[in-house]
Amino acid sequence: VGRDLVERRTLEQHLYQSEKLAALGVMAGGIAHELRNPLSVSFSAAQFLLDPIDDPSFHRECVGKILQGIERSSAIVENLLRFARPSAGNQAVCVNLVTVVRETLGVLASQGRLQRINLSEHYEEALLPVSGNANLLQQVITNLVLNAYQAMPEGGDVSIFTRRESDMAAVYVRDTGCGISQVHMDRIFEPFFTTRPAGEGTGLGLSICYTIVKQHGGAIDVESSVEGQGSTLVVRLPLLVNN
Amino acid sequence: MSPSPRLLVVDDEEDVRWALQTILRRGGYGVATSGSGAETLAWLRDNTCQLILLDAKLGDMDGIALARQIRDQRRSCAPVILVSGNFYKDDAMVQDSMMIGLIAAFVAKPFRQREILDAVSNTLAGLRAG
Repeated sequence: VGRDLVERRTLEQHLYQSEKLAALGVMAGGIAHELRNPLSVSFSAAQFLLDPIDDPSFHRECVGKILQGIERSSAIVENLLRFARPSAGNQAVCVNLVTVVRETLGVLASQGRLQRINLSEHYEEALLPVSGNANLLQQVITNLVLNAYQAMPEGGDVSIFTRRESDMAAVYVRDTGCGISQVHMDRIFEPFFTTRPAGEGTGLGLSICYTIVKQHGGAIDVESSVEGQGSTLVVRLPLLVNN
Repeated sequence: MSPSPRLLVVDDEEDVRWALQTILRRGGYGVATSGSGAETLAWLRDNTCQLILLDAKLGDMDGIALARQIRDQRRSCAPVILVSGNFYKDDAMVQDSMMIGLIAAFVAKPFRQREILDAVSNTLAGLRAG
């Protein structure tokens, strides 16, 4: 029985990692756009500096653009590395859920802009400590937000807010997309269930969210969904007491 | 924007507009800039240009969709050079858009000054020859 459990844990970790890499694939266009813009600016400014420049203020402007471009590119790469690193073990530590959400949205914002999605975030409190694995929780937020993006092929609004609800920490992900029909409502957390055309999406994103949230002693629910008018999904995790 | 310049640069990033504008001005061209699809369509209502350098992803619409609207609404006959960090030269979207005449040329980001200036001068030369 012990060996079965170890094998199951290992398989789950492989599944989480491959789903995370699939999410990176979805975000590739946004990442390319985000990186190539500051690279274009730095590259151009460096080329301007190769020519004799009489104007010292233009010289300073070019140097400033190069530095800004490098800093921006470096921040994007750092966010990506943070996102892509494998989930280390299953040890639960004290995690600030607000930080997890904030960092994850930092990586997902570029893809949102690319899809003409207005991403807004609101945090009622700066600290929502939960016991868990930050990488896995990051994956939950990523899957929920990418799912919301995919519900709005023509663009729209995604708003995320976090708050304390008695002894639980709650994260709401609200979109203005196509909504979830009543027929599909009971099935959206089932593995391999997807309403997207074959070849688009693995159908594992929300089921992985469900599994991770359950592992953390929490719950994930569709709070409201009106077909054609968007959905709100909410994740609730037990707050660490005596924080 | 100054009236009736020769080239229009459309990109939602101010710094990219700065880079393209600087390259083109140093290349001897007059330049106007626009930061969105809506601004571009409005600008073309009252102004003309000989060529448009267009980002593929704007905040409010796709560059290709904007090129199509410019053509369909007859806002401008100016050829379009697509400047993008999302596509590559052999991308089907780029090739198809060139084949149907929606875009005249493509330059990938990050770009060299020479690539931009060559694309502009070749496109303008093609216009004169045509």
